[in-house]
Amino acid sequence: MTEETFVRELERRADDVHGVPLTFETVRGRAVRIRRRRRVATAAAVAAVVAVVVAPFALTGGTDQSAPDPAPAPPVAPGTSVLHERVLTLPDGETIDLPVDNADVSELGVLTDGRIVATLTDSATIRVFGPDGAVQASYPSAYASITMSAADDAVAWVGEDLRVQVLASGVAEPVVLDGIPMPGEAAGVIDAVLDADHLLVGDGTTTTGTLTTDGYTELATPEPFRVVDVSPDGALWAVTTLPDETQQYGCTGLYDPEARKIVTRSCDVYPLGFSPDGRLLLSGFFENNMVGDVSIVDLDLERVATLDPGGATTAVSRFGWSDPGHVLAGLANWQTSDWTLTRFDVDGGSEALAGRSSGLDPELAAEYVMSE
Amino acid sequence: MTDRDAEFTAYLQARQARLLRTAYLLTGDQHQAEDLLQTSLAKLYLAWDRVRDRESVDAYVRRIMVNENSSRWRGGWRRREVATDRVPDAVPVHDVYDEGVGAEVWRVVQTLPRRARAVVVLRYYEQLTEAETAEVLGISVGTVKSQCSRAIAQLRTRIGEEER
Repeated sequence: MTEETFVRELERRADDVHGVPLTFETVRGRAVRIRRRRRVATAAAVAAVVAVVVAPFALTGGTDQSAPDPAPAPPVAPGTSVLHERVLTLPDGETIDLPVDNADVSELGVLTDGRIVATLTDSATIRVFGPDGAVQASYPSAYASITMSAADDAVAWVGEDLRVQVLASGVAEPVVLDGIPMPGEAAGVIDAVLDADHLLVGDGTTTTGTLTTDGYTELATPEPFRVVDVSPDGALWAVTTLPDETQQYGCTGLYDPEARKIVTRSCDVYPLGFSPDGRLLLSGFFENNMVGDVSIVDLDLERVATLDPGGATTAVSRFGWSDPGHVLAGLANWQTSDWTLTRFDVDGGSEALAGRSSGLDPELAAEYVMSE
Repeated sequence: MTDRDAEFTAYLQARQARLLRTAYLLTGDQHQAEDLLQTSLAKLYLAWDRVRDRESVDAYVRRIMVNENSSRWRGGWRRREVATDRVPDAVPVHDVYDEGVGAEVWRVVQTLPRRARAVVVLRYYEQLTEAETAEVLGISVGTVKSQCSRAIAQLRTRIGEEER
């Protein structure tokens, strides 16, 4: 069994792949749409952040008047930590030296007990660091991805043997759960960690069930969707619905798990993460290892603000909530690979916290890796 | 049509069939491959003036494809992806000389993490050198070697298990 086996078999596998030939007009049309999307923020904004809706926190108008109000005093999730040049800066400003390069880390999380969990891209390894930054443990995984709970009190990943592992804050070793039911030997996906004992899992397209220490239970929902994020109080799930003939990438919505219904829908924004207080969401399109059309949306999935990266050749590399009123973003010029770390205020204004400095090619890696 | 567009069109016509096959091996699905290729070529078109060295266009578009594919997995797009080891119906499987090895190779490739799969496709299908593969993916030559070794070891294990 040699390299020649791979060469021969991949060639044979690919040989019969034939598509409809692409015309220049088709490709140019797609290019125009990409360019429009990249520039939409620049065209729409003068300041770094432009308030589009004055009352972002009000559940005004919208698609469904039955959308529930957030709880009176919702729990506030921790803010984002940032890894840059082997130094992790926590939300309170404390710094920790971490023996790992940004380029090697795809995802990062900080548990409430201070431990840091990172995915290493080159080896699909989950590495756990102590609060002092020292390596504590490494776990082989099926693919380099972790899912953090909203409260940052648990993190989960799919192990190399396809069984799910959950590391809870204050607990030394991960608990091993069953695998996610999938055809053949394919690896399932952890869509959300509700808490250390309850996970939402699926096949990568649809969230199909819950996984606990008792095993897997199918999830009964009124329509298929995939959970993208869960609000800090657990009352709302941000979801994406399945693609159809009219929506190539599907639409999005907010699902109330108690009422078992999608209470708000949109086909214009792609919410990716709730704010720490659960009142807003960040939205954006991942493209070429960067994020386009980064917006802040309210619980009606209406745009409240748009993040302007500040130039036609500058894009958002990674982003995350600093606190309920601020968004942190690593910005990169894809022509010069100049980087800045900028904090945007949801009410307008921005502040450069670090940079401008030359760094990694943003199409390949992130100079500022944000915690999940 | 401008000279620029004519030049791009010539490249498009000459290379798209081969690039589609690479996209198929990266994604494992014909429809995803077609979408990935169209997006990647659109991005190449936008960047056409920046790719001054026409000899390096293939390398440039391969990098776009790999990154685009990884981004879809990592971000919002991954929410729509079906992770499966089922062979798509659109692609016939050759059985005449196969004896199961081809199917096992494909299963191994499909269960590899995205970046590792890209290493295998670039190294063994595109037949780039280890250094070229490392450059396209922005990783070390050592990582290319270890990913390839791991894939081969995985295949040996699978074939061994089949035979037992």
